[in-house]
Amino acid sequence: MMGSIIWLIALPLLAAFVSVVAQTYQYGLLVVTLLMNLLVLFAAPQGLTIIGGYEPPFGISLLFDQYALIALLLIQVLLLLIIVLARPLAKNYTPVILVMLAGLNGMLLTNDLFNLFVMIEIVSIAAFILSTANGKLTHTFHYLILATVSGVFFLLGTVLVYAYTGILVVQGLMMRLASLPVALSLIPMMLLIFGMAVELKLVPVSSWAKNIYGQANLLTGPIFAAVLAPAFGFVFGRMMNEVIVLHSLTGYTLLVMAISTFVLGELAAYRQTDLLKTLAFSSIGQSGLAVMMFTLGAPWAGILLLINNALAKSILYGVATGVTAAYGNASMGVLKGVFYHHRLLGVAFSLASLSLVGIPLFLGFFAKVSAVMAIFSTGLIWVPVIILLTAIVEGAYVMRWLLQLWSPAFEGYLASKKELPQKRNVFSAQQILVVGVLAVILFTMGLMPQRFVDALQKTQPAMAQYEMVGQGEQQ
Amino acid sequence: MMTMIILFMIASILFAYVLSLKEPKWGAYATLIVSLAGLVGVSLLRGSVGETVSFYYLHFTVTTIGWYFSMILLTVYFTATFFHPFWMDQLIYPAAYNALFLLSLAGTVGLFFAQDLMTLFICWETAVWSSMLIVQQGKSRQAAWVYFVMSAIGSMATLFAILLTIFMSGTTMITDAFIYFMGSPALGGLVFGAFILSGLTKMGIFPFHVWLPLAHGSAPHTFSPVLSGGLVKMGAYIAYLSVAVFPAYQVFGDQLMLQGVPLPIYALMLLGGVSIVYGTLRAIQQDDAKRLLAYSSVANGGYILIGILMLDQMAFAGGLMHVLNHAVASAAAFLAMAAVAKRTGTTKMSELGGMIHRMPVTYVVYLIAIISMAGIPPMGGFVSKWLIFQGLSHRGLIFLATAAAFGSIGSYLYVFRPLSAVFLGQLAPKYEKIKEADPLMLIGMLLLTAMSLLLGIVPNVVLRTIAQIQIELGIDPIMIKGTITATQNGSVNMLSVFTVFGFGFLLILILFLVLPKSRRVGLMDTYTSAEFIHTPELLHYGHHFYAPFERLYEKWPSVLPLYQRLSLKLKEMGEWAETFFFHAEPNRAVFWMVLLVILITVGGAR
Amino acid sequence: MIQFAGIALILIGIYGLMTTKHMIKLIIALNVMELGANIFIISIGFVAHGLAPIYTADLPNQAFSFVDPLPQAMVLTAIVIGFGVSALGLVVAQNIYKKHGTYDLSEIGGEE
Repeated sequence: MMGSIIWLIALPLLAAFVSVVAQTYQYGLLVVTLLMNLLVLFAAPQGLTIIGGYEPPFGISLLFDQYALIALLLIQVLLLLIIVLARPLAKNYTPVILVMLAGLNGMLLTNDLFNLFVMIEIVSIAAFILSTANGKLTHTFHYLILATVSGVFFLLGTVLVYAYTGILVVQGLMMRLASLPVALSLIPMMLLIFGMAVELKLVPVSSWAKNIYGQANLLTGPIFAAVLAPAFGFVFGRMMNEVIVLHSLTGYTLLVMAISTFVLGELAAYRQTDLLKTLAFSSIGQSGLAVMMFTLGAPWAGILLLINNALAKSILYGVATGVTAAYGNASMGVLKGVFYHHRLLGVAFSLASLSLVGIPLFLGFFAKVSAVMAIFSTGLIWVPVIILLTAIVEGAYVMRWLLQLWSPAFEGYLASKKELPQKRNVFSAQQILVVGVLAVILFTMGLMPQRFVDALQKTQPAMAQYEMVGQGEQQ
Repeated sequence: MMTMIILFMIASILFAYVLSLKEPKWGAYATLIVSLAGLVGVSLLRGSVGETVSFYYLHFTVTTIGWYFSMILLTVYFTATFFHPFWMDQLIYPAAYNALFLLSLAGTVGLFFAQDLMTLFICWETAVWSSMLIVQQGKSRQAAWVYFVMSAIGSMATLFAILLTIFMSGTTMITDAFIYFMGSPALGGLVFGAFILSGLTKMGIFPFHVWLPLAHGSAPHTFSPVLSGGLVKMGAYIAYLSVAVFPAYQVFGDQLMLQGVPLPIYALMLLGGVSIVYGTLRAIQQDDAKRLLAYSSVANGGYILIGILMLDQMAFAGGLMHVLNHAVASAAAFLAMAAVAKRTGTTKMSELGGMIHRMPVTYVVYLIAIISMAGIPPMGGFVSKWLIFQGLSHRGLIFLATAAAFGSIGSYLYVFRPLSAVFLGQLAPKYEKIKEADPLMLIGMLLLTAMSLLLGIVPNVVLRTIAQIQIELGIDPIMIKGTITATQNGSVNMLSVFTVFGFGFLLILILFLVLPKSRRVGLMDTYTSAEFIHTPELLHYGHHFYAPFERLYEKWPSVLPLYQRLSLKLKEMGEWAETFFFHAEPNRAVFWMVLLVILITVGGAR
Repeated sequence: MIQFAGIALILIGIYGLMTTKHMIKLIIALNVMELGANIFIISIGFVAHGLAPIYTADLPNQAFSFVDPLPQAMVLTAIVIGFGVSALGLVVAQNIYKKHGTYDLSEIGGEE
């Protein structure tokens, strides 16, 4: 009975309804649901699950393969750790988080394009509500408008795909679409891409992320950066593999959007003097990099980047929002030398930043290397140049923060305890343990990169063929 | 053996960290013992050239050149550890210092023994970030940051070259991968330029030198010697790889030749020449002794780069030997300054003076070090500079030879300044009570002094190893016979040079002892009678030591503002992006989205 | 024909989204856009003189003139989602009004 993957969607939904009634047990219900989801994840066999006996293309089916397994595992584990980390805040938003979890799992599992739209909208609505926890409603409103507009675009794209092909099954849809004339398939593809662009934080439409991420608290920061961002990244990867046919026009537009997201995001992060804003723009930039990988047909590099970024950002946001809440401000002057008081958090933060930048001995380095190697094989030599040049900027601002956060000192003088800020209580022992667990996961993954990359590359054959950008129109 | 060394290193890092948490001093002694063990362990590897070992995804192999470089680095690290126990109370994170010190040591040794390109890069970056985190514990965060960013510029270029090489050649082995570019000069040129960039930034070659004075000047006093004497030499190894292992002379074979040197390599050598001149001139100007030595490292980096890029019988040998000579001399000079700083609390020359009366041994250490650094016989520095000069003049590279000569003479000016301003002259009243450096520190410094001397008397001990490296590379080895070092232009017997100098020294010593003693004049003993002296340091002759030069330099352009402006431009671009694309109004984003949709639709319909 | 009506409504909605800063008007524009999209979707499955897609006894005679039921099902879902988003948007807008006393985003300015 537990062996079916459909529980991943059904359980959180059920728990969400129960949690509204049984308010006292809300938080426990959330934890139990996530733990049971993990069980289901390991018990369920891989393959296509047909719901209600309707064969595709008539009914909705769920596709559970290696790719989905990686994404689902990452999300359940991270969400579990985050709600433990942000327990007091999570308690107030339990039904929302549960609905969001159902939506996220559905989004990653579904094999039906329209169902994907529904799941994306469910996740978006949950995300809107969650973002009100920041207490800045204008930002929520901004996010709501943008995400809904792009949702309409996605819906129109879905409908046009249906109108032209007559099916909505995700798996193998690309083959059908590729056989269409370019004039027909161009517009639905474009609409689908723009339908995802807002959630992927691609450049002309990423303005919402600056404030939603930049004003985040202990709950929303890690959830947005480490759960929602990778989930949408994974969905985009699936779409690029199975659905979206890139023509040279859409392909280059997407590539330019991804590259400018990466470059402009990192440049904007470089000038920030507020830790949370820096991390916000860094998230935007990293998302652009992952999209670039999926666009260029290197999904394993994209997956690696998403995983690295999710793990690193969960730590960075966890620590940064915690420290900000305790010391009242996220500016460089206030937080200077703050890690002297919080050594363990500091070590975890440093580890995560080193990995985020892609410094050797950590997971991020192997992600970056596989990204660059994958791009070489497409023949676009100038793209790695951009990536590596931007990596210098990225390293520069991350290191600037790291150095400041560790050193209670005036410039030109040795660090001294006199300059230390008054010690405040940031995290309980339990919360520090969670941050520590995240750091250990990240560090361990960096120790065994080869095995990890190999496993990811094995997910490759399960996917459809890729159409490279720049190889001309599809016939 | 290799495996044992690697495992020992990893274990010792953790051990030193845990021990330092308990008691920082114990951790400091642990670094001493560990680096000594590393030194002994690596020196035993001399016989096992060719042995390979794989440690997880890292692959190492023992080579003669790698052994040579590791020995230099380990020597510098080892001697610096003698100072550690006295500095633990100055550091805010002593445990992290000790652990990162050993980690950077492991990184550098790993770099020299790396068998494949990925290992090379991983070890390189490990050494960079761990040393950066050490530098931040000094006086300046900005310095550590600049150090990291400049290194990152180099490392990212090198990473690009490495990944392109691996992708093109299909192999990661350092010795095999670069052969691929034999037939393709354009791509080879790109890879060569990108690969050597990290070496240039690390050595502080001219436009990338900005980090050296900042980082060397404000790193913890115990780490400056390692930075200058050790980590900078990693750049020399990269330069070696990009000219000796990367077939640079063959790849650029059809380029314009200047006296037998292809144009791209000649251009790099010119940069080395500029570094010599620029570093020398800037060093003269400095008031902080550590910054002065940092600029001298820039100049000496130029010598090393030129020597290694020559890849011939003489200058190449000189370049490799200068790596050792400068490492030893520079480490000794920095350590002497550290000892002075430990007692007085400053490295500003105008605030010091007369230290010879209180710290005579430190004075001798510094004296020998600068003699070697300036390339005056009979110290080691002379031999290597002489070899480089021989090579340059033999090839007829007149500009570079001029630069080298200029640097040699200019170095008298700058090495003399700390000598006279810090050690000679009158003792300031506030330093009357200070004592000679601690015996443990003296041991570390004297080891280096002895090495400097020995390298000057019997340079052939080292040149034998270098000759073997040259044979392995297939170029004519440097000619050595007994105590005679020979080149095509002439030969020198350093033992007899030393004997002559020794006699001269003895003669003067006898005269000094026999002739009547001079009267010591205190700093406060002035001719301005009946006038109270409020600011004795202004009377010190180290104050505005080279006033004419300082006036000369006032209007000189500097390179650092260029980078600052670049950083500002990047921030402006970020601000621009923020106003255009990250504006806090939903209308704008909707506008952009619709604009792109319309453009694509129109473009698709066309 | 009806498709063009849908597209026109979408364009009107987009125009509203680009020009107004009044939150209620923004939500109205969003609704207009969604309405246009829904009409457009219905038009996809439209078949002239088609019947409701219900299988009856005289099926063989009319099998090829069914109206496509799937777009209608989609529209139903899309309407529900649109309703949810609008309701949420209105709640947010009202709360902003309570706090700042205005519905105009430009009057609130950048809330940092």
